Amino acid sequence: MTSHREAPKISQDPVADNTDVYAFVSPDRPDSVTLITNYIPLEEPAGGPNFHQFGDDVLYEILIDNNGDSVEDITYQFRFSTEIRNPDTFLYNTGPIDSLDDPDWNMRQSYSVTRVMGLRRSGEATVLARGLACPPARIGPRSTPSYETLANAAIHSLDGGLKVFAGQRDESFFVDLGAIFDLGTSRPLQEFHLIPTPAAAGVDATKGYNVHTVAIQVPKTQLTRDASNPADPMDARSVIGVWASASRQKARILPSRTSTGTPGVSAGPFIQVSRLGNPLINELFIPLGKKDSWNASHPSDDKQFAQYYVNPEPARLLRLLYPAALPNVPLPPDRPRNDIVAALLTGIPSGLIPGFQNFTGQTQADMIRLNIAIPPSNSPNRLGLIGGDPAGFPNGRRIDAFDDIVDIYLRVAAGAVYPLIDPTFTPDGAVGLLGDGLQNNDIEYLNSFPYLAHPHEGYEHHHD
Amino acid sequence: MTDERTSNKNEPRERVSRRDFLKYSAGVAAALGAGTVLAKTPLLSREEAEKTANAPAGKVSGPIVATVEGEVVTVMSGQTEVRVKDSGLAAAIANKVN
Repeated sequence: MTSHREAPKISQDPVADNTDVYAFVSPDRPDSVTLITNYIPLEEPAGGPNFHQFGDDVLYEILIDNNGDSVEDITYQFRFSTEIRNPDTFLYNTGPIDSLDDPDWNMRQSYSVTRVMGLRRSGEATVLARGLACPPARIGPRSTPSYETLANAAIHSLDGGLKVFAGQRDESFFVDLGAIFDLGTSRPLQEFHLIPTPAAAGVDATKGYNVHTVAIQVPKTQLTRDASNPADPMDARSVIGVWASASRQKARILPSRTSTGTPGVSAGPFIQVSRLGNPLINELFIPLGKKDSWNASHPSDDKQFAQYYVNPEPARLLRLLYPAALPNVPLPPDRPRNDIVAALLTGIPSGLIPGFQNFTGQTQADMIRLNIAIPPSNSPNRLGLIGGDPAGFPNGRRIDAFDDIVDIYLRVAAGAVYPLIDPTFTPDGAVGLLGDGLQNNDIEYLNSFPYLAHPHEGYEHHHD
Repeated sequence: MTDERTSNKNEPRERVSRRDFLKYSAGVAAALGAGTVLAKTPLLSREEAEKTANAPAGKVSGPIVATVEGEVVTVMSGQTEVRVKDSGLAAAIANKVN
């Protein structure tokens, strides 16, 4: 998955595990940008009686660089607080939850939103809102009978034209996990695998699961370095870098037997335990021995990981595992993967693709780079930029039906865009067929903020 | 770049008195043992530590968490972290848990 359980330490800490980040010009409000980040991988919808929720002791952040130095200039921080109204029952709710202030809703969460201008730990912080209600978990027809109404009531409008939402959503990322992590199998192409089996259709392993989403929609003029709304895609001011993170305080002391009722002690500065910009980086590019330190590090220090982009393991595996179909996957020393470095670490400079750039300078950093001057596409191509759609990945990242990340990555890893930097290279014919056999989510996305689909219901869910 | 190099502007740093420190930290230090001391936190000189030690007690409202490694004592309260190099203080804490 893009960053679900991708590193040893964070796989033990789901509420802080950052699974996906999206950044795109809002299709229904093109003067704004929507930033979405998900946490808690593979959330079981029926996971009661203590249904999934954000961590009260986790600092969730969405970070934006708008001047090309790969250091945050704007950070949106989200802190959560849980209220238990009746501690004398095991029930999450004692009757149908009909509104966000329904007295039958026993265990509820609210949050604050803070904007920090400058460095996230020392910049100028402004609390934009407090006490914003999250929607409840989607339980079933008796507990949450009008869930969509409840969830829509939890979309909050803030001063300055911002919208925010934080709560449970459908797991939007679709991928054939069972095949991918069975020695890099693509079911549609597995007859060409080193250990062949007959070709088969892809299986959506994340179907039926939920995540917890933090989403914010921000006017473009609040994201650019000079409060402008650039219209020229070639204007450097039009490109922003986006990533997200989760942090925990350095010290955590559990309550002792004699301190009944106290929650223990958290103290010290917040330490980053998870981060995510471009999908699949820590998951597939960074080796096991480096994954935890990647999560703790800052994008501006990503030069230390550049070797894993220049000589990426996924590309090596494709050539190794599909020798008959993909014998010419470009690899160093003859063909260093500077195409991947450009797409994921620096942005694509002008001159490679007519009318397009999302270059942020020579600092190598894992950020989603979004050129906000490029309008949303009326007919999105699921392969994004490599499908001829400049509004798609790696220009930002749209929700998954519009940017089919697994198929894009497989094709790029196999050399689909290598001719852009080396016109003498011809990709293997099978590159155009690469994919996991999935092209859409199990349920429909929404047409408006927060775009990700309503969550699966515990009562009615299924995984097949 | 690391998180711990700065404290949050929104949480003014409170001085930690020696009395507070000894009162609250002994059990915690035992629990944590020789915890990791991060490199970029502010390190007070002996003189600064003495000034701190002479400050009035009761200035810190929340719990204090401390770790001891050698003669360096790391004190955390709220989102603030301070390192004090004070062999006497470190030894005093260690004596409480030995």
